[in-house]
Amino acid sequence: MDTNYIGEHLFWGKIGNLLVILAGTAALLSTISYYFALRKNDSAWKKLARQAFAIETFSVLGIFGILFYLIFNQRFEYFYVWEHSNSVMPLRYILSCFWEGQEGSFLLWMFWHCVLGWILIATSKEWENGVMFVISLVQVFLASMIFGIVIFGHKIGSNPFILLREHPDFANLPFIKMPDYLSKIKDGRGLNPLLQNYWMTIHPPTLFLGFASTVVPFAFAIAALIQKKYTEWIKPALPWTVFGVMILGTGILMGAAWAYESLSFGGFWAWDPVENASLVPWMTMVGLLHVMLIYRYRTRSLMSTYILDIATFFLILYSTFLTRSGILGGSSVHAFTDLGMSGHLLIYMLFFLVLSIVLLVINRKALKEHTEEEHVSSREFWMFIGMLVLVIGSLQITFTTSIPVFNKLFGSKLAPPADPIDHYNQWQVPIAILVSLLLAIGQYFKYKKSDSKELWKKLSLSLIIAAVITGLSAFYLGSYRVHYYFLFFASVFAFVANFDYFIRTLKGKFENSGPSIAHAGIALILLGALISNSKKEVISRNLKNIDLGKDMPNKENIMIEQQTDTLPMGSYFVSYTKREQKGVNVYFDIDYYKQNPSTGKRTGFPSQPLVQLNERMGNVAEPATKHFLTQDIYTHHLRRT
Amino acid sequence: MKKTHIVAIIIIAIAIGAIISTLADSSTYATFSVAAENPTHTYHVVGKLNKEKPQDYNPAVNADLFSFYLIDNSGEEHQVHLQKAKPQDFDKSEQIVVVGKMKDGSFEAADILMKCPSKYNNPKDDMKAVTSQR
Repeated sequence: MDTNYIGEHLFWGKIGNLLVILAGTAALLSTISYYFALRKNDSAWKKLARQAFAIETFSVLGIFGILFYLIFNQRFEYFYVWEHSNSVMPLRYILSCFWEGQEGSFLLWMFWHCVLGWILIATSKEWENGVMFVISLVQVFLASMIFGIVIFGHKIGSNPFILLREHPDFANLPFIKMPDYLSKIKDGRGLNPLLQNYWMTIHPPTLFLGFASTVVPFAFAIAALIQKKYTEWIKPALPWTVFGVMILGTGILMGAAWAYESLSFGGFWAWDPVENASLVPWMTMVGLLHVMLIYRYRTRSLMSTYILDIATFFLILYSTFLTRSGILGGSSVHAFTDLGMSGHLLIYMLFFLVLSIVLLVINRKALKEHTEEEHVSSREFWMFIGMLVLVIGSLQITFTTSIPVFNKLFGSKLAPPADPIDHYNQWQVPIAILVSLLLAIGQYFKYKKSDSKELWKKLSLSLIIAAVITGLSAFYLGSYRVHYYFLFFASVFAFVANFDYFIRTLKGKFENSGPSIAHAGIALILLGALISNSKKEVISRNLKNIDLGKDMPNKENIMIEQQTDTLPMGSYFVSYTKREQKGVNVYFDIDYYKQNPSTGKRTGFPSQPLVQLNERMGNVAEPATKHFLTQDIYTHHLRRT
Repeated sequence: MKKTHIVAIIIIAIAIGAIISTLADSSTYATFSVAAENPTHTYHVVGKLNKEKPQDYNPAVNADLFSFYLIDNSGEEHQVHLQKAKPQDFDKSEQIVVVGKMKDGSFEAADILMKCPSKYNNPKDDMKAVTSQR
């Protein structure tokens, strides 16, 4: 019994489905062809592999284009379109629909792999076969995530072109039998209001490019193990590691900027499991970069290079598993909706883990080193220590983030720390102090061996400047935990020492200044994070004359009546003057002012936090932040009453 | 002893430290009765809101205090004093997790996590609602 549905546009969906299958098949063909090209060193196989990769790229672009077209034209007969967009959504957020859903974000990831793949085909020369074999293999797994085919009763992946009436969630609902069901669907469910922010149009693609770029050093390492060319890969893979560190780092910082601007917890970093899941691979990738440099200049630490390289890629897969399998449950603001893909994701992760470990074990003898130990005054020794510090830091973060995984594995009933920020900081502040000290001194050491007298002479100026700045800052910082002062000193020291290195040692030569700029930048980030977190002050305390006792501290929220209340907050008086609705946004006009007691002149600023109304997902409050040179004032609406 | 051995020992020591500290800091999912036995420890209590009993929220006095009654998974009911504002969509919540300690027969919660039924996860209800409008 077939129903003739009215108003459906099925043509492009069918083409889309075809392209999904084509992308997966082409990826598989490309993998197999590159494998034979590698084994037989045969140019015919290589040609075929490239053609398959071209078809795959074309399919991915086609899927993107069709999905875009369907969202743009509001074809709500498609589940993905109905689920992730609606007609009131501003047009500029249309791309965000791609990363709200799992299917779209897998597509984005595949897209970046295609882009990186073509760059590698053009540049990697004799490494092309091996490297592209690994990348194509990864693509096969990613493509299978959007397959949406049922094999032996198991659904493989989730297809972006599935129709609303075919979606398993709606099986047996009455609308399936209505020929005119489309006329009843007035609108889609819409985009999560948290994603309707300009940072959210650039943060996910950047982060995914960072994720995607970790596959390149991994592919080089695996290709090297397969071909038993154990050391030559490090040179061509090194720029890719630098690129990955840069892009993933930028993506993480954009996420932090978004959190600061539009989330209501009043900070940029909350040690949320999803934030951690992208920070940890970044930390191991920075470690990888440094052992690669050690190998490049001193031909040591080969085994560590392989381990960190594989660990970084594995941690990307692990973070994918954490954020997409639903295992984090409600413990994170960023996690995706569970699509019942955890088994599939687990296979993806374990496949590459087992493959890497097997290859490492088979080749372990060739990776052994028979060299004498590094001298304590050598640069490579301290770079290695720095890598270890980062690994320890990432182990600690991974361990606590993985509590839900342990509960699943061992049936335990552990809950995450009640105060996660304190828990992480007690470990990560000392780690940050060590990192900062190493950032400062690292480049002053020479490879092999350094003269310690000269070292101290060169570093003494930076040490003195940092000590003086820390001493002076005590007036501003006031009473402060001791280890915060240590971090303050260490990060200032790191900044000044790298600046000094650039001026006096490099004589301002730009082409060699990469490490100094990167180190100084990280030092500034750590210093900024320290000051902004440790000096956070709540000015909206309850100052009314009601003593609620010690057990009921008035923490941070306060009620303010429209037009009637003027409350003192910090050095300001605050009143709430107007409420205005424009579209889905409700704006609240809050007035901050100071009054000069002698002249009576008022100075101040308006602040306009807003609430985005969203019946389905709940209203979302967007804070307003007034920026000053030395402080920000943050105004946040709590709830609609 | 080689330097690498010393480094390995230090790393293992720190890793063990990290594990112990995580276990020490981590809270446990428990019921009210377990929390009552150990009032100094912080617990995560999972339960449902009792919609019959009154909720108390008076932002004019204290915007950071909200009281309600929670029935935990073993069926035991206690009043919860949450030291935060009343969360949005609180009454729609299907399941509630409160984080805090037991004190004098009521639960002092520092934090709350809620699971709402049709927030992100239930397109089915939306679809039912849409297509039943004749």
